Amino acid sequence: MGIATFCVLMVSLLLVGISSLFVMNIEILLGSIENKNEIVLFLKDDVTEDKIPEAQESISMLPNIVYVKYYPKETALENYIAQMKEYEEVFDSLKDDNPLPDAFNIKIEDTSKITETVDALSEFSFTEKVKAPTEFAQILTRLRKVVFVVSVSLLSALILVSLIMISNSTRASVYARRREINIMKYVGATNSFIRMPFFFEGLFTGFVSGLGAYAVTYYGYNALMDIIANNISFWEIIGVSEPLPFSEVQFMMLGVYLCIGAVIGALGSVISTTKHLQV
Amino acid sequence: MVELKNVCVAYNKGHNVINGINIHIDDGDFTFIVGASGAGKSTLIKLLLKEVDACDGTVMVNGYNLRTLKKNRVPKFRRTIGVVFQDFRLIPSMTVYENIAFVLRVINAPRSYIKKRVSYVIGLVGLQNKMKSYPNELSGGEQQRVALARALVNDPKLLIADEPTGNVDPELSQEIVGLLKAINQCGTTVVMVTHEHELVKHFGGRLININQGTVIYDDVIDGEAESLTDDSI
Repeated sequence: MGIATFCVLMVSLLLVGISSLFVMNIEILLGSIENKNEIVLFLKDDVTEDKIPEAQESISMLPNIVYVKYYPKETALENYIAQMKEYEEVFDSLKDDNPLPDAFNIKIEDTSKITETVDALSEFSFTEKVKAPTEFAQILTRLRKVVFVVSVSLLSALILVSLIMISNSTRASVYARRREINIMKYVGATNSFIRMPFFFEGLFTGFVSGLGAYAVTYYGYNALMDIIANNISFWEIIGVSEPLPFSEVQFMMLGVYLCIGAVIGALGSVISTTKHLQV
Repeated sequence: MVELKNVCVAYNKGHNVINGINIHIDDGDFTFIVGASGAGKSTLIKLLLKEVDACDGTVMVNGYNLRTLKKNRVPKFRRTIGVVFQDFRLIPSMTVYENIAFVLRVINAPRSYIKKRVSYVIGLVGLQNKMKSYPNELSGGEQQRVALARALVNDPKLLIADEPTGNVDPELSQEIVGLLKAINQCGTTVVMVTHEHELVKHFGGRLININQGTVIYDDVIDGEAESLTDDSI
């Protein structure tokens, strides 16, 4: 087991790591888009101001609710005026008899349960109308599922390919020592005794490859983030939050790299020795 | 002790390489096994080492019934046997001492015992001053003596020598068989497969001739015996 095995394993681990970071960033992107979509509950005209805290409390008690913000009709009108200054005079005339309803802006936790939440909100006696991005939420939910399935399949395939590649590249080193293995079998060595050095060699190579892959990911990802931060922010253009900082996942990435590297290295070596143990 | 009763071995269904063979070898015997190429000699050796399985009959070696022996018990069984091959099968990256000691390391023998025992067997084959040499620094005869020492180091009950003189010159062949005879004198059962008729004639002993997977001759012959006929070899 030499430099070739180390390189193959490191590249395989890098592919796994890069794919994971990509998926994590997609998740952040989806989450950020999701956060921008709130449910709006319009209140009936007969709901007086003293009933607002009670209504707010009732909504907060529902499951799947993150926050409920009161949005009075006066604020709504001011926002309209601010947004459409050319019609300021028209809106000003409405100040005495504001036709807009009072409302609550509601943020939910799980968009896949938006329909149930909307149904529950509609049942309140103070509810005039509920406006929710139901279709958009459904698209997001489907997209999430697709991203999950694709990422799990991709990672599984990459791990399997790594295992096959490692098994093949360690086969050469095992083949070089087949005479030794053969003699060991004739003098009464057990299979576990023969496998032990190959197992530890694989484990060590996997571990070192994991460290190498981590170093490349660390410097590569941070360099990429620097480029994004120092230039026109793509993330700002599409109006979502910033990408995942590496510091947030560095220990998890290191752990995953070391574990997957060590397991694949050791397992690949053990698989390659099996053929030569049939004496 | 080796006991083969009506043993058949087949690599392909319907074609027996060993065909109903019956051989009984007592503890302490020295037995030559001869036969033409393809007669079944190598398969017989593989059978005795449980490298191949019999499809019929009884195979008893050193008290182990090889037909019922479980896979995980094979290493323990093999520790009762020493094997010498025609091509020596020494590990090139190990010295003479290490090549022999490694057999004892495999069975987790204590370090002090390994040192004592390896030095003893190296002395037995006369290679005391080659202990630190590597196989490629040795002659064919010396390499075969190392292989012999390796086969003896764990004090086997049965020593199987598969054409041990095949890669050495005639003079060294006699020396190696002489060593095997000396080992046999100490009580180890020796089974030697060979195609060198002159050696068999010279040393004498029990001779088993195999042809097409069956025993066609099994008798004791005298060394340099004139009674040896074309039927026996």
